[in-house]
Amino acid sequence: MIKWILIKVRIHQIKRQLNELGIGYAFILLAFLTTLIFYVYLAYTQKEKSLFLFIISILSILAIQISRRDKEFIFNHIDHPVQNIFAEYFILTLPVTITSLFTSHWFYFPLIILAFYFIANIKIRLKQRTVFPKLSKIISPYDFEWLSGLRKTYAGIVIFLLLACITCWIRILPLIFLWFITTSVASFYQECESLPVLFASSISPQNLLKKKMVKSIQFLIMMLIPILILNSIFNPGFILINIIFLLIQITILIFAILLKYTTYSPNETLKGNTLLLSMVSIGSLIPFVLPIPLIMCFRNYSKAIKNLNFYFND
Amino acid sequence: MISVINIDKSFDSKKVLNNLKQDFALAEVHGIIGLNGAGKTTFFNILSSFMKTDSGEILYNRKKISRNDVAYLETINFFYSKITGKEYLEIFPLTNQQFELEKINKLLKLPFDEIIETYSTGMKKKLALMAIIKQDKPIYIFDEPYNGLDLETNMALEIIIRNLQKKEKTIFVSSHILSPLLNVCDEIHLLQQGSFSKNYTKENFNNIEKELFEDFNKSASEIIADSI
Repeated sequence: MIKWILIKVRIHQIKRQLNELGIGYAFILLAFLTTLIFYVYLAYTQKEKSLFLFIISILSILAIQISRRDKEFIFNHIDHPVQNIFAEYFILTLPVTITSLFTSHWFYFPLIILAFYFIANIKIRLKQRTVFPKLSKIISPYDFEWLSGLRKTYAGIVIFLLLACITCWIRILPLIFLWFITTSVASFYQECESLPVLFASSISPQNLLKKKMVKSIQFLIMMLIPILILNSIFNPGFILINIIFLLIQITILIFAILLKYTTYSPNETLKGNTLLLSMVSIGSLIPFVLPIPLIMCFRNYSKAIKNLNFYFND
Repeated sequence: MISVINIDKSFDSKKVLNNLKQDFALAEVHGIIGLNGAGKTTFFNILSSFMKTDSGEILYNRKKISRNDVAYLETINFFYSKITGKEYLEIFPLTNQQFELEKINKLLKLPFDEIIETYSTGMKKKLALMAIIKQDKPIYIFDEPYNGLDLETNMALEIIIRNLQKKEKTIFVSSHILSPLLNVCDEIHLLQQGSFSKNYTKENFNNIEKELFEDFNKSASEIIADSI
């Protein structure tokens, strides 16, 4: 008989994360998930979008399977490892994938299940290698989030920058590519440094947050501004929108930094923040929810200071 | 003098440090020994101000000890992902003016330009050790520093500890293995159930093993003979 260990562990983790988030965030999360499921359902009703969703689902799970670090442990120590991994992917994606069954593109559902089962068999693991070993000549080691993040996501960032560059004369399209870059950069702030590194970086919570925010804004502006200037030159009537866009991207990044230190716990990776970050990033594309990230920044600043004071106060 | 005054620390309902008190002479090497769960790491976390006490305090030269007084090599070292060894070291301020990275690395042989994920356990320990000795502090804590180190680096660590002592630093070292402590320590303190129960000076080091393990050896021999 198969013991569904992995899925049990994930359920415990989700429960713990929800407890940590609190009831307010849990409701926001629920609302977000409901909206997402609804949008996925709508996408499955359309021919092209459903194919796109199918490919994205499989590629995402493939990327997770190749990069997951617990694979060796699971295959060595857990009975029925393939079934366990498959069950994990199947059950956790079920609320989204099942929507296809209620559309004319229902056949994607069994195909996804089949693909997940094949993916669960993959044992290969990417070898760790050092890219850009001299990156710290440009970015200070104090900005370790950027050093680490750029090494992890440089391929995506370069592709989006190139796409934004190539399409810079078009009105909206380059902004969408730049938004993807901001979303990638916001994900840099999900890993918590150790206490020795935290204390070496700054003398007080206020000083730490100020340094982190100023530096990250500088880097983000350096990445986005050339494209925005080009876009404004090609579309002079679009200058104000470009400025507002830049301010929104800065707000998303500040939100990511403050969220990290609001939930900072030494040596932890804050996976629970992923959904909130995604919500704020996606929310920035919807005009009527635009003020929410800004309000959350103000709210999270004092929370981050309070949380950091716990560690900084002797 | 470093004075530990009536420290209590509990996690949930479990009391880990129980009215802990002890005076430690400055410019000496203090070994801290105890079984798993005796409270060694909790004591070090409090000594380094990484953790708060429930009650009690630690004084250094009659003032409340500060984080700036202490350099702390933790048992398990956490490194931010995808940064190189060199970048990790550069995060820590260079306050020890004698510290020369290239020279020390001839001894420790770390691939500084590689990301830390490619390092072995021992190499990670060496890197964390370098970050500690890069800083000039009056107090150094080494929690289980010998874990994962090869024989050569073990010797190098002993030399480092002796050198720090020559500079009149106060050093705390813990280890699950007694022998390296016997070589470097001036005093060894036994932590049992959250309190310091015995102190051994160099002259009494010979008694430690006898006192600690006599009863254990007897009962262990009997149990093992009966059951294995």
